[in-house]
Amino acid sequence: MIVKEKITHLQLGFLLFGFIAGFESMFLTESKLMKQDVWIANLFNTAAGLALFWIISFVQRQFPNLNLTEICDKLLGRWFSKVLLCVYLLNNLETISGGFRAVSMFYTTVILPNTSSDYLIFLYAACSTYAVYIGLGTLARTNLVILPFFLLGFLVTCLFIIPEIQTNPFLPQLKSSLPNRLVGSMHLFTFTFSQVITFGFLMSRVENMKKIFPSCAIAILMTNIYLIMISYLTLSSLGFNYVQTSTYPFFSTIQMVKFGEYLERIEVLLVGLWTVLTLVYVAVMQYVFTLVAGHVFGISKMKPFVVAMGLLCFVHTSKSYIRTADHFTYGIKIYPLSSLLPCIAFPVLLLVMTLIKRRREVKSL
Amino acid sequence: MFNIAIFVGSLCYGVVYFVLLRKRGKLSDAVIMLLLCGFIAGYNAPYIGKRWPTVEKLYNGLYTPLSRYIFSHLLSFNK
Repeated sequence: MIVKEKITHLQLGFLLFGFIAGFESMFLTESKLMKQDVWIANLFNTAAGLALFWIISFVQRQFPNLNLTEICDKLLGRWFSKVLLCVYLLNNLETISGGFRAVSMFYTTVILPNTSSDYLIFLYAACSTYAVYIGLGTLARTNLVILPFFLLGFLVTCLFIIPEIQTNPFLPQLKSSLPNRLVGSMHLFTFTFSQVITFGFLMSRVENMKKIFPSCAIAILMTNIYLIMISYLTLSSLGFNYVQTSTYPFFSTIQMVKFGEYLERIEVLLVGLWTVLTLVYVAVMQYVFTLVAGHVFGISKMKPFVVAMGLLCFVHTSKSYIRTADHFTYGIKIYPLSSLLPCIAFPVLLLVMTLIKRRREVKSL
Repeated sequence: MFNIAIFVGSLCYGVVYFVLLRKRGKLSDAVIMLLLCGFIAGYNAPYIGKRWPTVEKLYNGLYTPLSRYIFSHLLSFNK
């Protein structure tokens, strides 16, 4: 793992877009829960994502020469910081395992039914471990190469879905129940921008720190436009009932695309690109896991540990979320709660401590 | 077969790097590597592998009562 390689603020923004856009379009659980009111979840998600990102970038700007793990040590004290970072590591491992399991579940359900999910997870874990080994700079550049293909493929697919649209699926408004709105919004936020804390650990590696927030704010807005678009297209082309019963509604939507008489199964191209972006998601998570674990356990040379931690991610995934129904229930009922402390309370605590420290410094002057 | 390969592979990796890191004078790194690889091997070890801790098991134990209270009692959400 190359430790000191810097990336640009634009690369970080694109990485954030690829990180969310690749993974989140899979299940569209919030569309299943909220139906025509899914835009409420997206609006909430934009506001909450921007607020959380501002908090983390504000804290980082106060300590430009330190990374987030060192900032935690400075603000919270060594041992309390270690405890909180361990809670973050557990959340990170939980997210990595969920990501690997979701991709393998998709492949074994839709494309490769006779392949063992353990082999698929091993393959993904090997790829993401290699990505961690070659470093953040290469990962960010690879993401820049993939994104134009993904966006082009996605836009072309969207154009071909437009003829399938029958009615405006966002009408009549405000018909979903309040619990569904709350759970849907919480679910979308947990699976997308609650993970911006992960990007906080990468901010010290960005060349121009002042431009991180504007470029990542644009990425957050673009991601939400993408999510609203796929929700709109899926609900309008498939209808509410089909979306509720389908495990992968957006995949069913893109299956409807045909070019001419004979050229079909275009969705396979998009699925390939989507798989690579999901790998970007897991690789970023695993990269930060390795970085934070190295700091928490005081490891001086990380290179031999990259493979060991990749192996840990693999074996942990192979023993987690084995039953599909349990995985879904966990995603809706446990994961949003377990993410509250490491992904929301932790950055807010850092903000409060930074403000207290600033006020003390001003008083002492 | 695959599980046994991962079990043996992770133990071998741990022991090899324990020896290498100790030779380089990094004793704490060597011990962490051995413990980490032992923990990884535990997931695929015969008999105990199924009971080895995962974050899913831990958080299911910790958060299920709170989740049940929030989703069933406060929100009346049953899906």
